[in-house]
Amino acid sequence: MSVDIRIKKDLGKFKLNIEYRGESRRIGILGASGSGKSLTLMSIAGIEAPDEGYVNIDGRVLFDSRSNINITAQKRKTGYMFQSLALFNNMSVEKNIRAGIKENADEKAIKIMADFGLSELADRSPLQLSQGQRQRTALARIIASEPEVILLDEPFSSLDRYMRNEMQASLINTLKDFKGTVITVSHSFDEIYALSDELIVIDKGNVCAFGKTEDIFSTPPNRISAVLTGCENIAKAQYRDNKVYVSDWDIEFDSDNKNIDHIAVRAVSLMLEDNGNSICFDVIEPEIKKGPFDSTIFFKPSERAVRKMCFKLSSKVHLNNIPNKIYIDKKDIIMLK
Amino acid sequence: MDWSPLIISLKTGIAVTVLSFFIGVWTAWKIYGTNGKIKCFIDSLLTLPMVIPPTAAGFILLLVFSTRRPVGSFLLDNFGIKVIQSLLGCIVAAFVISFPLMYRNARAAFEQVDKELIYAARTLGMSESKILIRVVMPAAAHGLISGSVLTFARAMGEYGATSMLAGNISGKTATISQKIAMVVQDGDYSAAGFWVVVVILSAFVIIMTMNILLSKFIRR
Repeated sequence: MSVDIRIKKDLGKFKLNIEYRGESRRIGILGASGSGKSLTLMSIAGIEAPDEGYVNIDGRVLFDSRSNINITAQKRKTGYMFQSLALFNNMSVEKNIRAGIKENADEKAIKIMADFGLSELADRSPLQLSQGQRQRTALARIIASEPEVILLDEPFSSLDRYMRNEMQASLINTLKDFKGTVITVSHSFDEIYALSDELIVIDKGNVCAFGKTEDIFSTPPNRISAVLTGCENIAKAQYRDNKVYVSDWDIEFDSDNKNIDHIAVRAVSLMLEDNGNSICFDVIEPEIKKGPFDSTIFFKPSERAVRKMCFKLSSKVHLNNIPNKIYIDKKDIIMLK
Repeated sequence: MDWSPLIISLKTGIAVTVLSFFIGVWTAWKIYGTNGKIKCFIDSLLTLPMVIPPTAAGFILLLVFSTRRPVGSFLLDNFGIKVIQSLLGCIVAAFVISFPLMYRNARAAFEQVDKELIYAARTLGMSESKILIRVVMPAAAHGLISGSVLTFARAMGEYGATSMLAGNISGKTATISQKIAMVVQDGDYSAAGFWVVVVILSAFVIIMTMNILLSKFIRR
C-alpha cells in the first residue's frame, strides 16, 4: 500500500472526514474551494493535527491517533508547495534553496540551481523574480530538502494560461525522476488530470468518489464529480417504465438504468451527425458565446426545456451555419447517482 | 555640571530595551504558538502593567522587593542584590512598565506574518528557533522595530513606578524625568528647561540610530 489515509477533524461548522487507500504514487485530490482539500494536505504534512486518524505513506507512519504517533512537520520529509509559494523574501534565491538542505549545502545548492536554471538568479531576492522563476525556486527548494513525499497545493493557480502550460510540462518532467508519492490538490480539473493517476474527489469534507483518474473523468459516478471534472451539461433525471426522463430538458430515452438522479453530457461529446446509436436534440433558441478558437452554443434541446445545454463549435465553422439538430452517442451519456 | 540623570536614563533605557526585545520576542513567539484560554490569560496578564497606573505598579514592586520583605531580603542576603533605591530598581520598574509595549508589538507583528512561511519552513525541516530568527523576525521586522522604539521611549520617560521603587537619589537613581520633577518643585525652571532639551535631543538621536541599526540587523 502506497498511501493509507484516514483523517477526521471537527472544526465546528466544517467536519473533515477523509478515508483513502491506494497504490498509486501520483494522487490527485479534486474539490471545490472550501471542500477540505488543503486541510487534508496540511494534515498529511503535519501542519494541522487531525482529531483522530492514521496517515501512512510508503510504509512510514506519520500520524496514528491510537498509538499517539504524531511526527513533527520537520521530520515528516514532506515537501509542501503552497499556492502562495511561501518563498522567504528576506533571503536570496540561493538561501531559500539552502534553507532545507541539511548537509553539503554548498555543493547541493549549486547543483540544484543549475538543474532548475536558477544559477544566474542565485543572489536575487524572490521579489525580483518573474512568477515562473518564483515557481521554479519554490520547486527547487522542495527538491533540495530531499522529501519522500511532495504535496502540491493548487500549484499553478497563480499563473497565467501560457505560463501554466509551460510550468505544468516542466513540473511533470521534474517529478518524473521523483520516486516518492506526489499528492496534488486542485479545483482545476486539467491540472489534476495532468498530475495524477488516481483521483479522490471531495465535497464538504467527505470523499465522494475515488478511483483511476481516467475512469472518473470518463464516467464520473455522481453529480459533484461530473461538475468538478468539467462536465458542462448536467440535468435532473429519473427512471420510469424502461425510460430515463430528463425533466430539465424535457427529453426521454430508452434505458434500464434505474439507479439514477442526474445525467451528464460533455460538450465535446455532442456530434453534428447521427452515428446510428445516438439520441437527437433539437437546437432551439441558440445563443452564441464567441471564443478565439471555438465558440460555445447554448440551446434548448426541446421546446419545453427549462435549462439550456451547450456544445462547442470550432471557430472555423461559420457561425451562420449553426446546425438545427445535434446528436449524442448513447454510450456518451453519463448516468449519475 | 552633573550629567548623571542623563547617564542613568540612558543606562535604564538601553538595558530595558535590550531585555524587553529578547524576552518580549521570545514570549510573543511562545504565546503565538498556543491557543485558546491560556493564550488569553497570559496575554492579559502581560499587558496589565501597561494599563494600571505606574504608581500602582511601583507600589506592588516596592512591596515585592522591599528589603524588609521575603523576596527583597532573600535577594539581598543570598546574592547581595538590592533592587530598591538602586539603578537595578530603575531598570526593573521601567522594564515592568514598558515590556508590554514590546511584547504586544511583537505578537501583533507575528500574527501578521504569513502563516504559510512558517509552515513551509517547518516542512523544509528548519528548527523552531531557526524559523523564529530567520523567517519570522525578518518578516515581522517593522513591528519589532516599532516595539523597540516605543519600549525605549517609555523606559526613558518612566517616572511613577521608578520613583516608587528606586526613589529619587541624586547621582544614583535620579533619571531625567525625576530630575525635571525635582527641579520644578524647587522652582528652578531654567534647569527644568535644560533637562527637557537634553531628553528631547538624546531620545531623538537614539531613536534615529535604533531605526537605522535595527532595520539593518533584522533584515540581514
